[in-house]
Amino acid sequence: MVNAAPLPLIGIDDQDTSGLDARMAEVQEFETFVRNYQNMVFSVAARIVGNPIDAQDIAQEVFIKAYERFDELKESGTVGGWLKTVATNLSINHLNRYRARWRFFSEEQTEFEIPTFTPPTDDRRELLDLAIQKLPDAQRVPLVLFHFQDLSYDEIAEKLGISLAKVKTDIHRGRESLRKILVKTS
Amino acid sequence: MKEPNEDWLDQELKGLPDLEAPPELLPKVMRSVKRRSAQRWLLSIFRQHLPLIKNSCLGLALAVVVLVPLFNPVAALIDFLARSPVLHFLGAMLDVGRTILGNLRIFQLPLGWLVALVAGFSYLTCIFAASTVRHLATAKRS
Repeated sequence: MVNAAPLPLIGIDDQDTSGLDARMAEVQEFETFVRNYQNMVFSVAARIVGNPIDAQDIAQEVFIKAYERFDELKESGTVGGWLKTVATNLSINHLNRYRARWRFFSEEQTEFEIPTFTPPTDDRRELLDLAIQKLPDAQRVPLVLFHFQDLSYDEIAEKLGISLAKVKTDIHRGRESLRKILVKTS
Repeated sequence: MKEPNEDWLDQELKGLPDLEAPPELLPKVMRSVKRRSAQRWLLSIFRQHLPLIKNSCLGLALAVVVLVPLFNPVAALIDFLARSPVLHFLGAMLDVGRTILGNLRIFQLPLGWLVALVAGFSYLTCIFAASTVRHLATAKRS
């Protein structure tokens, strides 16, 4: 005679409770994830858009996208790269969408007046970050993509939809402006 | 050609640490995430109990199919309306109105005809007045 195995006494309520616990655990895990990567994502966005308020909105959007794919991302070894790419793309989209004076898509060159500002700090690194923010979009974005995202000239040209020559010129001008701003400020 | 400050600038840019995210970023993100998480949880519960929901709907549909011929809700509704005192009163009032309009005469004309004539004339007068005002307003503007 075969003894019937006792059926597990799991009702609907038990399943729901365990689901709720799993959800809470996932939210907590995601909070740690955001804590770990928030500075990186915010930096990418802030340096590209040159505005901390817009950068905060972009960072929030990046993390919401990350949450939608959190199951894949937490097991992937390239989370940082994924977050950087999404932050970069969203920041560029943001600039394209909201800035009427955005000059990337035209090859025209505009004269840039070197701004003078009183630095709120003596810290050279902070000063450099402020100087990057002061650069015009057309110079700042390729410069940030080149120096902080480690993209090649070709990749930047493709991402921004501009010619290779313009990328090189803009980065060169950006560096020149940065140097001038720093010299002027110090 | 390499500019003299290029190496210095390169080093400075490379050594630049991440900016510090504003403290309100984390709470904002977590608020959105909790909202989405609740939606996902409800959706997962719905998916989890989908067979139960399907079977309940099927059972309800079968019950309706069995009960409809027994109780015939359309006939019950018509019966209910026919017994309604408001509908009886409304019918009687309409009957009285029809009798008055058909039988009462003013200057040898039935009252119904007279009411229809007055209503038609008023309608035409309104249309004429509105188009005149519009025409005058356009003429004044130009």
